[in-house]
Amino acid sequence: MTTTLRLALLGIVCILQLAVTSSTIVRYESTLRTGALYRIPTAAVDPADVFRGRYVAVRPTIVIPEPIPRETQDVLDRIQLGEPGYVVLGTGDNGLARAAAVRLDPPAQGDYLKIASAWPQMRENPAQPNLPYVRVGYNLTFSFDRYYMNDVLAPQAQERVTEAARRDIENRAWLAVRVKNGAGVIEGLYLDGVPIERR
Amino acid sequence: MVAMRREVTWLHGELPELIERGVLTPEAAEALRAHYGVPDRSTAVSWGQILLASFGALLVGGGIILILAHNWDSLDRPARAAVAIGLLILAQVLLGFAVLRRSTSTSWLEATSGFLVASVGAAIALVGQTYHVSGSFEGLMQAWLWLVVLIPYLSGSTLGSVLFWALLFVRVVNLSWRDSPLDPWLLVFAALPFVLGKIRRQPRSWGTALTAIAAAIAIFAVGSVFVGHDGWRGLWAVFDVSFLAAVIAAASWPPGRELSEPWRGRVLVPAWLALVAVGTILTFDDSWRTVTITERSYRAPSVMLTAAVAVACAAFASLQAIRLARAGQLAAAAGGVAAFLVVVLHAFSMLEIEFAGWVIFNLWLLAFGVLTVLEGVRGLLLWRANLGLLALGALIVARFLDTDLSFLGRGLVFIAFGIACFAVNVWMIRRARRIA
Repeated sequence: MTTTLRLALLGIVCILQLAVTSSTIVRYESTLRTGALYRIPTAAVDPADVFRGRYVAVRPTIVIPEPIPRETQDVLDRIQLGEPGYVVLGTGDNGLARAAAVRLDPPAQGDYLKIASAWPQMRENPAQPNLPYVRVGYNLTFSFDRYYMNDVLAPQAQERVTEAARRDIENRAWLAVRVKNGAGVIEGLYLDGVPIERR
Repeated sequence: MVAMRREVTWLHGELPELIERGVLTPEAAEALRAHYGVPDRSTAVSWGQILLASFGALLVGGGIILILAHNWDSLDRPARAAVAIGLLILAQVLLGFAVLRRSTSTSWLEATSGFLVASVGAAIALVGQTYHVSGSFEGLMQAWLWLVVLIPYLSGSTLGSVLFWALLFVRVVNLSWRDSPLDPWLLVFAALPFVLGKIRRQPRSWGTALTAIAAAIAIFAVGSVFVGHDGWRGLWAVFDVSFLAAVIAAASWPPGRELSEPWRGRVLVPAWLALVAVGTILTFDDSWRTVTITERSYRAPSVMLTAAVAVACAAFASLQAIRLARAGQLAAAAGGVAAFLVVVLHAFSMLEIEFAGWVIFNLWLLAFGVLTVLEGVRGLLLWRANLGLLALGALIVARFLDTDLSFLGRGLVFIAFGIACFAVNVWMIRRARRIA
């Protein structure tokens, strides 16, 4: 292989390497700068990533409470079975994100997110022994599930978030997520309204 | 010719003495000099320098990854992104400079290639950390591997290639049993020609041996991981035996010739040991009772591709076995025979003729052991004789585990076998000394 050819191929490889890393930066930076802000309640655990450092593994969840309309129920059942699904976002009275609609295809307008998984939320029902559990709604989760932090602070953050979940009134911990064109990028993790880094 | 540099240098050193002793005429010595040429000392490689440079590059890259993983709280988001991209560009520029201006310096090429491989991973990791990008370890490794697979071709770097195979190994051993991506095999097909080219161009280099061993281990891991997935029980035996036999066949190529390149020995020893181990497992009837294939396997492309690779390896090893047998290298041919047998016996087991598998593999291990011991003793090859003894020992231990013979009987047999091993070794060493 001649030096010119080698350099030309190396150039192509370098462009590919830069394109892959830069495209992520551009897409996420654009969403963070111009995306709409939503607050999504979350739970947390605290693993470590061998290459990317320590992070709080978050599970942002939007709950669709009962009663659920029949058409929405059908869509949720299909998403639960593995079909792709999308949630159109709105903001509830408490300032947290809520599901304005659930669809099997991305909407033409409005802020929406792709649903990673949907499953029914059950509650014990001691009043009726023949029906020990009753469905109280549907949980929707999303693909963004990591909040990277300093490896000293991350375990402490996890403890605080877990403690908050134990005290849970409704969702003491939430993620500030910027949403644009169906993509969600985490802007911050908040506990009782305060960024987790400042607690 | 590069590969023969050491031998040519040695020959040039010997010629004056040969002329002085009258073994060669000055004209004949001159003719030899003219034929082999003057050894090119400009390309002589300082391996210490290369090791230090490569180790330095790896430390720099690894250190950067650790610093990034530790989180840079003091930097804001755009600054972190700039660091990630800047690091990558720096590594690319350094490799470009090495290819353009230092193409004869192995140290430069090795160090910058290693640095670029590490920097690609560091850049992906830092961007992921900065933007809280979700995604699995598998996703990160997949992107990393595809972005560095061509680097060894462009720089000729041993370190780049070894790092690639190491990353592929790390990726596949961390795959969940539910994941069966096809692309690890595609990565193998993309990266393997570099290893084969290196074997062809630099058969005597230690870098070639290192690359060949790394590639063999990673490919073995890829196949072994996929054969455990998606319901094709018993495929592990077909892949393991066929792949190991193919490695042995490749390292014994061409048949009937004295093969002294270091990479062959370094690949052959672990391959033979692994083949004896797998062959011993296949002498147990349990290994053949569970052979089944489910419909799920047909729908898993990675499993089907693994099966296809296993059959291709078996075909290559079987053909090579015929050539080796014709050249009188019966012990080496036994590896290829094992590959042929495992494919046929796997098919028999699917048809519920299970006993054939373990019976024939008992016979194979016995025949391999005897042939190898005889070949080793005849050629005074201590390593080969001991490999044969190891195979026979493994067979004896395996059979004595599932027989009802008393402990006294087993103990006596083990002692007798141990004495036989000792005697063969002592006899061979004495005989070799006498001949010397």
